[in-house]
Amino acid sequence: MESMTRKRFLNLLLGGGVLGCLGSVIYPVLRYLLPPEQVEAEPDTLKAGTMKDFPIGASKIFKFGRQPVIVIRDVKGVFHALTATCTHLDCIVQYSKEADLIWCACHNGKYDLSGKNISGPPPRPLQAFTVSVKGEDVLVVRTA
Amino acid sequence: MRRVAMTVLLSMLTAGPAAAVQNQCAVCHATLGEKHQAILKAFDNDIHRERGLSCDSCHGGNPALDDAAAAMSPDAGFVGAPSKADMPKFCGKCHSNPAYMKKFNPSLPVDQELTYYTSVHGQRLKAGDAAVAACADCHIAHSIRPAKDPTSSVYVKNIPQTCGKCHSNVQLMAPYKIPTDQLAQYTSSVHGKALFEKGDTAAPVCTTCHGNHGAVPPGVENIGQVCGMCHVHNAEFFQSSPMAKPWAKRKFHMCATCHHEHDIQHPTAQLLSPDNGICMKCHSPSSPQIAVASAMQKKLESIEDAYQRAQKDILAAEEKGMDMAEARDLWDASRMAMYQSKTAIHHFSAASVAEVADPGIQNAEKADQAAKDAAADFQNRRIGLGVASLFITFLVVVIYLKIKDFESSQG
Repeated sequence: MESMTRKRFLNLLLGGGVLGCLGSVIYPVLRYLLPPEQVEAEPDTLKAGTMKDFPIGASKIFKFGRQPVIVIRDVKGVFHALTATCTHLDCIVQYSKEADLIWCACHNGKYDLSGKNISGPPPRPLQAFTVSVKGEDVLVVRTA
Repeated sequence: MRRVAMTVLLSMLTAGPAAAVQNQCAVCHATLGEKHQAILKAFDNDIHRERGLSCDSCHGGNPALDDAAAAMSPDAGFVGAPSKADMPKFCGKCHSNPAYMKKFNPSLPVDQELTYYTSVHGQRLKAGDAAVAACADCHIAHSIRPAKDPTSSVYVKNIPQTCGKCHSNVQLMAPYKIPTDQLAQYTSSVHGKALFEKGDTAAPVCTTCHGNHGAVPPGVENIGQVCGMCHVHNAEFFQSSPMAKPWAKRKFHMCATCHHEHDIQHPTAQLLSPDNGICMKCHSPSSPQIAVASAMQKKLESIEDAYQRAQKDILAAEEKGMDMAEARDLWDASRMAMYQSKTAIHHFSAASVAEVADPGIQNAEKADQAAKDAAADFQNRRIGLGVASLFITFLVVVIYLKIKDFESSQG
């Protein structure tokens, strides 16, 4: 009777240990397999909006992975997409419809619509992305 | 050895693009002592020599003649070294001639001589003061390099030292009764630190505000325009604020009254303090203006605190290996809001500052919370690892006991 109790006790401990070990393995595996709460960090293509969101002279800043990107429909109706972070001191740039160029309010840096730094302190151009319009959707594609 | 070195130097000088015949200037001057040899050596690296010019291009004379008297005679067009008073005209002979300069670089300006005479230096030189700076004082005769060359005395990073060479010289500046601490003040200023410590060649230097050939103090009426070239919104907001009119009436230096001139420091909320802030210079402690300043100070301190707290916690979480990309995005947004809040100060309205600061504070708080959650997640992972290790150890012990039990039951 005593031996049976000891056996049973050991079996219980063994079962508990096996379950605990399985749990320790299965839980991290499940966490790895389940999709993360946040969106994919570095996508190659993103929908910036539809044509309705971009009338002539409009611009919109949105996140492309971890980068803020400015999408512009210039006064001629042509789309441009560029990194929205000024290459001088990392301020967020904006589109000036009146001057038809990209402007940084922090220190009056200016870029043309291809992203080239043309005036003020920015030392480098803005990185360009490709914009393609499919139907009504405006898509921004990371340039290789 | 020295003779060999001079022979090499001479052959280099006389074999330049302009030296179709042997340059007798170099041949003779190499024998006239160290000063002359130093000039010859320096000129080897001068932009004028690189572009095919030689001694006679500036000083006249005939470098083909080996008779010194004939080579340096007025008949040979010899003009020698110019006096300080003649220097602008001497250099301007070519640099003010658009047709001539086009041969070398069509985009080079040709108004240096003209603008020089509008400067304080030029005005004083014209009035007979030979101690002021003229062309060669800044451009260093015989070793002139283009402004874009980092070895040039007028390369952006070297300009403060070039101006400071005279303007920090107490003895030289004494007759003009002007301060000599501009270079020291500039070096420790936000602009000087950007240039010298961060290597930001877009940071303003002496010539950015004073001009180069036409250098003058910006003056009370222009200082806002000068600062506003880069700090556009600050100038714009100030001009449309209730402060603009009384400021102009009292002839206050628009930006410099609060931010100073050469020793401009990174602005902090303390500048608005009702205890010892800059506003207290003119306003009484109980005035409504000081109440506005105090409200703006509190708002700025709130966003600065929230921003720094988030920064500290994000860095701590990143040190633990946690991915803080999302939190960094929020933190970046709060940084922009902090900059904008400081700019909004120039509205002199607490509501305007709050309008941009409040969303920034919220973003910084969200970023901080995300960093804290990540730190807690890290802690949970450690606990999980401990529990898993415990289970595994426990299992090993139980298996051992089970084997022992099995053996004893068999035996």
